[in-house]
Amino acid sequence: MICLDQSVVTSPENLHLLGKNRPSSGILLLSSLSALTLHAHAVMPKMVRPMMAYQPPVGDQTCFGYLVVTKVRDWSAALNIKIRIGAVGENEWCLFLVLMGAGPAPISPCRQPLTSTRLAALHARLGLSKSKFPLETLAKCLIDRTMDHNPAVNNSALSNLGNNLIGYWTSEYLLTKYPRLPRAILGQSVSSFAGNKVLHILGREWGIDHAFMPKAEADAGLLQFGRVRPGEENWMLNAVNKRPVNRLKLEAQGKERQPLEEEMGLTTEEVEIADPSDKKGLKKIVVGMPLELAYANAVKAVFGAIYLHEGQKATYEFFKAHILSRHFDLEKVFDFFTPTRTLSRIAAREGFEPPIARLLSESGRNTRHPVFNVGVFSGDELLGEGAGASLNEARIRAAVNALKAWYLYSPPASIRGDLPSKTERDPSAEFRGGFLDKGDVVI
Amino acid sequence: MAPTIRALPLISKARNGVGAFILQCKRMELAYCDFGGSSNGMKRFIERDLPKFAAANPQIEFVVHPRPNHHPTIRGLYINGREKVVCVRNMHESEIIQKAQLLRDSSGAKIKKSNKKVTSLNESVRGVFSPYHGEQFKI
Repeated sequence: MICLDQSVVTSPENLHLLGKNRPSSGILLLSSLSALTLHAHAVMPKMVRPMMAYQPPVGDQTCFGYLVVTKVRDWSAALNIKIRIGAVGENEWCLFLVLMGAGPAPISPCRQPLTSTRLAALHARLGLSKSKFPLETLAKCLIDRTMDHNPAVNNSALSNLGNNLIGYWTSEYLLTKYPRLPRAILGQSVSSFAGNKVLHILGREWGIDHAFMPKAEADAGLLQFGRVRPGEENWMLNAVNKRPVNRLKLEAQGKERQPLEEEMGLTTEEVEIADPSDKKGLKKIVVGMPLELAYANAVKAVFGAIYLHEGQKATYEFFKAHILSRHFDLEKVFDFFTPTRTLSRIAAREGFEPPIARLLSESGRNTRHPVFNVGVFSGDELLGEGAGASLNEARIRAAVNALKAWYLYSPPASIRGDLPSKTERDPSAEFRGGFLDKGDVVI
Repeated sequence: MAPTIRALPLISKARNGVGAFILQCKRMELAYCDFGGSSNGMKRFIERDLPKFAAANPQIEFVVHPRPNHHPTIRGLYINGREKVVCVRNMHESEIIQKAQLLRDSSGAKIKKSNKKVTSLNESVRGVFSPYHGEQFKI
């Protein structure tokens, strides 16, 4: 049994003398009721993050400072030290030991980009360059403009750059590979590969976590952004309603047309208020950001940051590895309103013979489950083939297949044009122009 | 003039390892007790083997923390939001490192039985059999 003077035990700076971090923890017994309460206080001290020590160079994701703490047997001496700096191993790590109850709490190391283990692990997980891509930039990528309005601190500029890169590279890849894609399909395919929804998922798959209503003490390795709070829908509606008016006004005054929010990769779901620093009330600041958009912006910012630190080649490799490698069935995006008429228009424009549907084979015409196999022919050439439970269904399926075969034409590698961005990555490279299509048909 | 075509809003799916590979274990928490004897192996593992293991796996955030009066554990936290915990009481360092490797290599998903030899998002190259093509059966 250990007896402790009550005044010593109850004073908050001495709570650490009991409980988890004492070598003798767990064998402490007091008998009275109040003593039991004290005991509960003692063994469950105020929850703080585990004591950690960090290794400043990029790539450290450990908390080895703890090991040093465990080796310190003279606890009373250790607790009097606020910050202990030592050198371990060949790298001469600086160890910052944040000790409970040792005077005013210093800023937790995890808030600093260089000492956040979470950030270092994310850096390694993404395979970013240790020498070129600093941790501070990665931390910046995770700070949304709703968290900090200062553009020097938040990721808005990087995210804008990343958005342009991703959008450009995705569309040039799709257009070069499938030159006949209709505009509606091309636009959707770009957002299917690199839209906000996908980038949000990508950010999650990278293992980025977000801080709930972050303040300054959030870990530097967490995505930090201001939430759209309940009850702020009015702000949102006002923001949405005001925008078109402003844009029309600008156009009427002959001023440059403002880019649409959608084109900038933003949606109108953001919540904005007037900037208090602007007397005229013209400037707006965004105070609330949907989760999906905040993630997408952070992912775009990582692309922008790689571009700035590691160059275009490395960014393109990263883009290929993380975005173009994803599985996407382009064929499933098509939805035709009038496939047979559209096919006729294409045939007329291209000078083919008018398409005719012919029955190729059938089974069970008079049964409950008939199957008809219909081919659409232009002259002797089979354009497409489809099977259906009725003649009409089979004919329409055949036309859809013929249209998909037309629109999804992909030139073989021997004649396919180079990506326009190829010469940007390597100015001395030869460029071969690609195939350009006439475009959609109009009915 | 009417639109002839509409695009359906689909999104691409991840294929981890086809382009980039993201290790699914993102954080490993090692708990030990300073007092209990079942933590002896764990404490030796933390002091001797963990620095090397952590340096070899920079994608994982390692956290070492005491858990007094309990058996030592290793807890792996995964990108899919799940976690796996292994109790390593009375284990030797060499056994503990195997458990750590197991948690590192795990995807974090629930273990499920696979009856298919191949699981793929891609369509079969050979195609599906059709009775309406080729030489047809005549009665």
